Formats: sequence, C-alpha cells, structure tokens
Amino acid sequence: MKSLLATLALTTALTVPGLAMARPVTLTTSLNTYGGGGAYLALYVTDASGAYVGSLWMAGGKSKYYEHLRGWYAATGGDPAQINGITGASVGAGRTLEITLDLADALFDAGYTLHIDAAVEDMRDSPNEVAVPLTAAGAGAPVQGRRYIASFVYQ
Amino acid sequence: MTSRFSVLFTSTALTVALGLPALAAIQTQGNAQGRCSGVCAAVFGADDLSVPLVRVSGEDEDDEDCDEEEDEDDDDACTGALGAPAPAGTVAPPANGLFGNGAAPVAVTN
Repeated sequence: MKSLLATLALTTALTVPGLAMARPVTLTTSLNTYGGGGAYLALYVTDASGAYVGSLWMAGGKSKYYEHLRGWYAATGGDPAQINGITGASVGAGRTLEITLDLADALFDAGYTLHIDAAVEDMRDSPNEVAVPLTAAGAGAPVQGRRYIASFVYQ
Repeated sequence: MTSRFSVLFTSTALTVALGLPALAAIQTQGNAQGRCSGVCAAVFGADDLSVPLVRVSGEDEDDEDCDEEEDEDDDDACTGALGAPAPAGTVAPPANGLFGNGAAPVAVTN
C-alpha cells in the first residue's frame, strides 16, 4: 500500500510539470475584403534579437508561392520541414482563420514576437503584416494588420 | 609421408576455394567483352560504370500541376524545388521548441 502511494505520488509529480509547461492558445486572424484570391499567411516567431525561432502556422499549401511570404522565406529559405504538420488551406478575403495550438509557456513574456507575412496572387506582398509581442498582458488585445489583415488576436 | 599428403591436400583445397570465384569473374567479364562488341559490350559492361543512368522522358505531367498559369486550385499541394510541406494532422508539428506535447493543432476557417 505504501509503495503504491509512493508510485502514485511520483507519477503525479512527473506529470504535473509537463502539463504546466504548455497551454492551448487560439490565434484568430480576420481578413479584409480586399477583393482578391485566397491569402497565404505565414505565422512565425522571432526572439528578442530578431532571429527566427520557428513557425507556428502556414496558411496555403503550395510551396511555389512561399517566396512571396518574404520575411518567412528569408528566414527559412522556404524549408518545408519548418511547417510540416502545421500547414493548412489559404484564407479567403473577408474570412477568419482560427488556429488552436498547444504552445510552450516559455514563449510568453520572454521577448518573443509573433509575425504574420501575407501574400495574395496578383496583389502586393505584405511581409510583416502583423508583428506583435507575445505577452500575457497582450492576450485578447486585437491588432490591426497593414494591408490584408483586419485584425489579429491571440488568447 | 602421410603428413606431406595432408599438407598438399590442404594447400590444393585452399587454392581451389580461393581461385575458383576469381576465375569465374574473369571469365564472365571476358565473355562480355570478347564475344560482344558495340551495344552488346556496353550492356554487359554497364555494371562496371560508375555513371548513373539517365532517364529520358518526353513530357513530365507532374510539372503541369505546378504551372502558375493553369493552376486554379489553391488548396492542392505542389511539389516545388523544396517539396510540399505535410498538411496539419498528418504529422506532428516541428520540434522547434514552440509547441507543447499536448493536443494537435486545430484550424477552422469561418
């Protein structure tokens, strides 16, 4: 009985930190009615020095268009390994993309910035359409994009 | 006398065991190059070349899928120079330190 309790305590102690190290975060991106085709969006993170850390999502599956997401492409060289398992469809004008990701707690209040590059066929590329610091206080506060994104919010 | 025979027998057996495979290989190459000429010799001697085979094709239909002018469907993956990424849900997110080990990514477009 005593050993059973000890085992239970040990497994609980090992499990709880793992659960606390990440949390589900919803990233909501609403597009303007810009009157064009589906927008490609690259969501990625840079650290305090501006260096690329990793990608969170890629909206748009055709790699030939990735060079138009200029900030992301410059950082990654278009490497598909950066977005394996986090790539979805492009987003139509006037529509809203809602992504729920299990993100590491260490991302918040640690100097990281979330960037969104946007590109639409036959329209101007928009690198760094959104750049928002990842902080606990900034959660839920909508941010406006420069060209195609009407609002972006994480919470 | 018996020991001399045994030494002789052993050395002969060793010579045969080592020599036969080498002799067979020499004869195979000799047959290919000696009895054939031109295309025949090239075919039989192809295994000795380190140059990779080159496939010749008139049209590559896969390339048409990546043609910007003819492509209307934005959701189809196109294998470019670097290849297409794996769609969400088919593989785990990249291990870039941004993701936890919890639920898989979910995306909804409204």
